[in-house]
Amino acid sequence: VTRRSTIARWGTAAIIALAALRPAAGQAQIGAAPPDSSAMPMDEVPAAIEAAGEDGVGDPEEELAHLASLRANPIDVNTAGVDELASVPGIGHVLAGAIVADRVRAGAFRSLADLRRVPLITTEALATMRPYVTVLDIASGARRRRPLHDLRISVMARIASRLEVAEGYRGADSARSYRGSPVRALTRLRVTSGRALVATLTMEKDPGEAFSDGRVGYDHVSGVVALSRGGALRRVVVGDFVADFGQGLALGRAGGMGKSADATRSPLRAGRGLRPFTSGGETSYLRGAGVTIAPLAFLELSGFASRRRLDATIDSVSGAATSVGGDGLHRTPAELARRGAVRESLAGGAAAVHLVGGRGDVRVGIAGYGAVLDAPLVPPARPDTRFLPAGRSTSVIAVHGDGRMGPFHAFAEVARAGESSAAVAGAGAAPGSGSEILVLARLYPAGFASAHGSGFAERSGGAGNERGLYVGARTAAPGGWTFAGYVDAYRFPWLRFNVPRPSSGSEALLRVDFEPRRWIRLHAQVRAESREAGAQSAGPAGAVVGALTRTTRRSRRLHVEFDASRSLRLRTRLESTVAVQGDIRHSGVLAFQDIRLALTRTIRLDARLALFEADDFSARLYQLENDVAGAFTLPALHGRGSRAYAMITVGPVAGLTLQGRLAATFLEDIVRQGSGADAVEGHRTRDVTLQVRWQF
Amino acid sequence: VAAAAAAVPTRAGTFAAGVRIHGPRDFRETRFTGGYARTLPLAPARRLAVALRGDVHILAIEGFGSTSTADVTAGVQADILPALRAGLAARNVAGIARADSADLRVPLSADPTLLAGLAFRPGASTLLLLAWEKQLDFPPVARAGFEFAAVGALLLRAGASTAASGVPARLSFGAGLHAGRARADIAVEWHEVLGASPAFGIAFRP
Repeated sequence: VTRRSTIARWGTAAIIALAALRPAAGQAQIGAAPPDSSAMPMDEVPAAIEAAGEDGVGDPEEELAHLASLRANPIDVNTAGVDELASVPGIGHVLAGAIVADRVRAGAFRSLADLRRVPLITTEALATMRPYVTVLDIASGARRRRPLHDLRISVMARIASRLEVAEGYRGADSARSYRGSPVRALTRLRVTSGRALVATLTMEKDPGEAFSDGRVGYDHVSGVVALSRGGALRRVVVGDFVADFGQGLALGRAGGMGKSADATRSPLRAGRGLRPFTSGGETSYLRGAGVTIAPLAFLELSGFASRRRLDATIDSVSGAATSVGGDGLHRTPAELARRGAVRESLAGGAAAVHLVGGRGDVRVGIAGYGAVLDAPLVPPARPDTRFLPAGRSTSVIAVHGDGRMGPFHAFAEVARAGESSAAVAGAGAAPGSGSEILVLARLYPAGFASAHGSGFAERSGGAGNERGLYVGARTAAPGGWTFAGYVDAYRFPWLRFNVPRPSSGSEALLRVDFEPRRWIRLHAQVRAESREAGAQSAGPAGAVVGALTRTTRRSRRLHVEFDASRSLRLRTRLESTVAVQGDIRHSGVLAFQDIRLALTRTIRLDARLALFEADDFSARLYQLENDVAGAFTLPALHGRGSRAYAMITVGPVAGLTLQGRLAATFLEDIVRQGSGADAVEGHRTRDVTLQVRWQF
Repeated sequence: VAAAAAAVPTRAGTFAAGVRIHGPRDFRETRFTGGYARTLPLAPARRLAVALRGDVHILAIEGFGSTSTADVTAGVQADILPALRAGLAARNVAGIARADSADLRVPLSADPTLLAGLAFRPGASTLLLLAWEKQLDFPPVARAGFEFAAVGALLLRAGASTAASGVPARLSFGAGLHAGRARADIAVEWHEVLGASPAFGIAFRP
């Protein structure tokens, strides 16, 4: 009994390590699950997020928060819709449709094991989804009727800082100097009651930002209250929220999703509707209020309005904005001048009809918005900016549809912004035993842009100036083998920043996973990308003309994870890259060894040592690192040197988690790291993070 | 070159010690090694062994004097499948923080290093070995080895190792004769620059 309760307690602590809330309710219901339900360790960052982070696509932090919230409040498979289920790891759109159709045909599921009656659900899929789904029994149904019964409050504070003093903090060059301290401070208050109530308040100051510039206190404050229920009034959101409809061409916000080893699922958008914004990001959210109602069971109507200030560069002569948006950093006088320089007022709506039958379901919807800026947007006059949105007002409207029948699904969205129409369409099949295929075509003209959309694209920043064809597939073989891969070919029909001609590229990935035992996971991955980049070429009469040059990047990886026991996990990775541009070839190699050790039931250690060598930034190597709960680190390593980190997690009493982390990078052969105001003298940089979280 | 080593299994683990002398009297490298290894009964069916090794290197040049340095290697070994064993090791981890990689006073063997290896035994008579090593200051090196029990007590071996360019930089061949408690091994290694060097060793299990 003691051993078992130790494990249970430690399992809970591990969940706390990432989850915003302790999943007491969920745990109790999943309690009957076999021990292999922890196939995915509780605070691991999924491969899709690692890939998206490398590509700079989406908001991995938000996706982490989404997974944490799913673990804290698992989705009830008996009441959830296709969108909600599709956002769960291991489910995807095909299984989500199959689950809902089966529920309509054969009635509610009595337990999670009962999900096996859905023809397409494999043991592996069930193991993957287990931490995120539940079947509410009668007792918890009663609890659901008293929504404040399971009220949970969590308070989190995090500070992080680089120990070496960067150039920008020395005050040598006042125009480029940072106004504040190098500390990053984040405080978050979160109140939830199951899935019915979510209220968060996030306050953040980035390194270099001051506590008293422009306003008193934190540089960034974000908060939201969201109420969800099953009846005609589905959801009310007040504060900061995001809107996700269809495939996201008009309104969407990608989490960690893009191209990844989850080849048949990660390009798809879940279209989760209006939802609270709980990430630490400072851009790409709406501020105001939104409501979703369901006057009829098959009809959902949403309306929302937002008014918020956006960072922008204002031309001092014309008063027009030359660019809107940014990274949310307000450290220097120039960055502070951009802060909140324009105001965007926005109103939008969406409607969807969803018909569910015993054999499948089909949904058709429309979504759109109109937005007005208080200063006209006038992009700089360059050839590549010719089709960028301009003017004071924009409007985008999109029609989307998707459906599932048996092992097949199909989806499409057509959106119109200004004079341009963009479209994305695709279809997939899951013929069984873990095999899936997905084909997706996209056609985004150069003139299309939606500031609040994020359709599937190679380019970060959403749909526009791109067309391409994506094919992804995966299949499983007996003995623990899984094969997955994708091929994507794309073309940018108009110029891009620093690419003076229309250009094209392609990308492919192949990954083999081997899990011979529950405690051993290996994967080998090959990824290759080839694209045209801008270059200069000799023209007639000694002129220099813009040209294209092909750049290729290939990487190979071998990764092994071994759970030596419940308290010790070892990971090893070898990875190499080759980057070729014209006649120039650079290569890189990375090796790391990683250990996680549960010393006692309340103390856990994480540590890693990596050695790397890359003779150029183009051959850089990424490694996803464990960080304090809710955060992740993905350093791009190049040069010759080593990187190490150690993290300690302590849970002295129930509900309280303390974490401390020290990471260091040592670069040989150089005496200065980074550039500009972030440059650090010496061959070493060290970053320290402390976090405390209390929940009750 | 001469070397001698002994390993003593005890209830608390296996202890080992050795010495290796390389070079003539006027340029002599000496290495003393002490090691300890044991298996951890952490979980059923998952054999895991951990080991710690300490080395002291002494370099003596006649007329110049001598210098010495020490490093520590930590490693783990696990049986992934009945026929597949994996090993990982890290050497001189503390050295990663040093400022100057080109410090000639530090012996090459003390360079911070990560090592990974696989041993695969597809049948009773065959053993395949793969190893990968990355030293902080050098490109990674991959090695492969093969052992085959030809007839009775005779073992035949072959090995190859890459250089940075990917071509084999070292090739080696060897044979072993295992008879009861005693065994004898001979090998010859061919190196791109150094040419061929032979080796001979005997071991005895009391």
